Amino acid sequence: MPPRKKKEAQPEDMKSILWKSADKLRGSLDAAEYKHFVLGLVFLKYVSAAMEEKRAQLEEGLRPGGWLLTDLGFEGEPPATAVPQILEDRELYTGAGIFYVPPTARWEVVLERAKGTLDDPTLGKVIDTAMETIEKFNTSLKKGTLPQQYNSGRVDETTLAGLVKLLDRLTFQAQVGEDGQRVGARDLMGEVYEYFLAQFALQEGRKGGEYFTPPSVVRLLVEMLEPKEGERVLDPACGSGGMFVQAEKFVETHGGDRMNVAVYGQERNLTTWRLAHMNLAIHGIEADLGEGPADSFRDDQHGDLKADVVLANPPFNISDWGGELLGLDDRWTYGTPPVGNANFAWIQHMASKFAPGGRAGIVLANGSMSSKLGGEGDIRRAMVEDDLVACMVALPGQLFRSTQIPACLWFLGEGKGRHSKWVPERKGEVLFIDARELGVMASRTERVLTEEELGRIAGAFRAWRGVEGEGVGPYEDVPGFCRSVPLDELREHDFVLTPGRYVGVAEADVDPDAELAEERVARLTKELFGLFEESGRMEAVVREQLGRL
Amino acid sequence: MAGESWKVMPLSSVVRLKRGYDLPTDTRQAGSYPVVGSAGISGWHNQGPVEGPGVVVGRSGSSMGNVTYVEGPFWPLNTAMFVEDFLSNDPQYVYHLLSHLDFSAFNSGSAQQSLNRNYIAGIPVTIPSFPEQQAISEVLGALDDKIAVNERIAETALHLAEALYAYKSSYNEGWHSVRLGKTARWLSGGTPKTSEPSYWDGDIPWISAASLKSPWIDDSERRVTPLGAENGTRLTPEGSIIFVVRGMSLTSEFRVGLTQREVAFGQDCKALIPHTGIDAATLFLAIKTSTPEILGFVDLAGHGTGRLATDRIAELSVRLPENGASADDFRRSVVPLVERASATKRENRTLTALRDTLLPQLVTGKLRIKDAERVVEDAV
Repeated sequence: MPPRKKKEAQPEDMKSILWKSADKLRGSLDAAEYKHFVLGLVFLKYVSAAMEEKRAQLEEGLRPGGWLLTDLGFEGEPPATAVPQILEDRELYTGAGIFYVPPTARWEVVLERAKGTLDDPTLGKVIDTAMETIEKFNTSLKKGTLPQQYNSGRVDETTLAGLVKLLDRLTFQAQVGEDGQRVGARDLMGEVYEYFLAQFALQEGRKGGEYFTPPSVVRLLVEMLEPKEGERVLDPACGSGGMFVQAEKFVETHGGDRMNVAVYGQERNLTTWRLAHMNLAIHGIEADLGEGPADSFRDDQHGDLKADVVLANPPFNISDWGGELLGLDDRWTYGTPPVGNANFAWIQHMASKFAPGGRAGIVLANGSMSSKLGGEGDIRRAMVEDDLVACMVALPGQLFRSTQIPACLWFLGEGKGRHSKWVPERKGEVLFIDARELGVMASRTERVLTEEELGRIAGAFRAWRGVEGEGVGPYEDVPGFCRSVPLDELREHDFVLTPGRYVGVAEADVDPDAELAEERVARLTKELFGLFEESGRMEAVVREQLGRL
Repeated sequence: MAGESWKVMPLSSVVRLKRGYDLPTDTRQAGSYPVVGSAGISGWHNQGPVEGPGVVVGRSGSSMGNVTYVEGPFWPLNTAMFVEDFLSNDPQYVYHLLSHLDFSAFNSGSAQQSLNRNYIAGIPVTIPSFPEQQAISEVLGALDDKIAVNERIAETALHLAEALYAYKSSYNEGWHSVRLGKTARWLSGGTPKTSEPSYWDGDIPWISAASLKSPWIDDSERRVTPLGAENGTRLTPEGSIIFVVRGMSLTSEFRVGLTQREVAFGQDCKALIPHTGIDAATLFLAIKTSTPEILGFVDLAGHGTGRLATDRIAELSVRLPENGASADDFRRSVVPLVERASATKRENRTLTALRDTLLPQLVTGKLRIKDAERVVEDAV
């Protein structure tokens, strides 16, 4: 029998608990420090919950006639002393993608201490020890990844105990499936972190560039790139590691072994880098995130890596990226990017990491498709002429919660039309997809791409690449949505890669722009004249009314 | 002074207030009934349980005491109180009266401001007879209506000018593309020392990202003196284009305007003085209609807020009419629109000032409406 399913966590519940947790710490810690303090405890609670769930399942398997007994080769009942050992067999957890938490570091231990009255050891000490023990037991977590300042005395014991008891109320979705493997691919730490970022943005002064890539955009990148078992995946601006979580999920749902994907990441911000470690640990993903937080341009942590799949959502249009310090660099194959904008530095950094036939998906601001400043136009031309650019996707607005800046996706394929298995043909062609009209409003301010729309975009790309298989027909241009454009035409447009220029307009409404402009002028003119008349009447009324005073 | 027709009574004898109802965003259904919270209409729903006309008073938060008037049935939110019964008073008059009352003294919350219905019930108000209430509503209402129609004229005139630009500039003949950087002289602004009193509170509007809210720039809450204008800031003449290059607003919108007089401006803005032969209104429309493209250049990283690199926008390609017939034609069609919008905005400033002066005088009875007085006297 599978373990009983836990109730799904209500997002509102989680948010209100997190909000109250921050309330408790106000006064003891700066807004900037809450996050890490609370995140460490959420992490502990989350990994402990997964382990407890798995443990219940193992206990079930050890009952007379249980599956685990058969698996382990016991005939009849195992010796009583073996059971506790089996239940603490680390391999049984890590093999199922569940993070193993040593006995002294579990949430229950911390909670019990929080409810107790002993003075020694202090609760802070118990938590610090738990964090330290977890780090020691899991080599994928570097020393100092988990927060360990709970015993610093800055937050008094009573407050800390209250915080632990409050966070104990967090409930999570079931993490272990019926097959005993980890389920779900939520970027939990990313979500919690984003919540704090949004909530405390004002107190902290909004930190630029730190934003969360919306799940539907990550999904789209992964669906277009199709990572496979045995491949090396790199995200040089990995944030909380959400891309990896989706990439492994994709490998798994397409019949591959997700444990057999090598993951490499890099992140410049210390807090975010630690967060990525916690997030990946939760998902049982072993990743190499470099020696420490570091800048991808000046301190590349994966110098010799040749990656099959590169994907990232680097900060948009950054100007303080230190381009002036780099000068000539091996990575600038297509031209030196301007000092004032890192967009083409990111693109080329990522392209320089390609293994033969490597592929990349990058989220960038729309300016990257048309800017000609500081040689960007020439870099873009060289990339297109070298057959590196496979597909451009224009995204709808309002996908990102924290910024309204319109964004697009670049897809690059090394050896496109030559030795690339991903895009074996299509030499001298680029696929343009205009998705600006897609998406539905999930809330007043946030748009998401639906399952069906993701399928439509990825499906068009798949068909264009010539993938054969179920549900993939021959590729066809769809006016207003997608079009395969030859090099000559791109040259005519001076290598501006904005999909809107090429895909034309949907057949249903012929040339809406031209028609709209003329009709709009007529409609607004009529409206304005009507208002003038009303205004004249109003003026007479005002004169009359003021005359009564 | 108020005459015999004016009576002093507690607020609870003028209106009966009731707390609004909870309506979480995710339970709202698209509909035609306004959802009214403490800051005014905050959304729409398919049910309006309270009949109009209605008056809503903000109960909590920073909009505490804010008053909203709605015509038809509506849904009052629990962040506000609504008038459940006007007790035979004129609803519009009640709206004006409540707008005039200062509720801040009755704040019962601590960190979060909030109003308690029972605390404010006893506020003494002086209230005239029903005919006089109506007369006051008519005067103030006439001003409000005129302000509203002017607002719509300014908005529509701008939209029409933009539509005309979009329509005409798509012609190849007589129009050409040019880099924005080459169309004007670019100026950077600054802030005079704020600790120096002789620099501030003069007559020259000082425009910053925060004050650039209207596309017709002719005033600002902050003004500098001629001395201030010479020290640390920059002046730009009438017919310049000012836009925001740094600030929170850039993450969601691109603020740009056309100056209607000489103004000074801050370092978070840039001003463009069009070169000879380039019409300011036309260039303004070219920049305004490029908003989506410009927002694509906003830099989010590094700084806490949005930032536009000047060299990037300078590279923007804009469509302008070629000098001669097409430029003259286009100018003739848009300049009157732009001027009308700007004049309307100016008119509104005067109307608003007049309304704000009259309101307290009228609802306290310090200023009387002659014919209404006669009506009352006749009735007595």
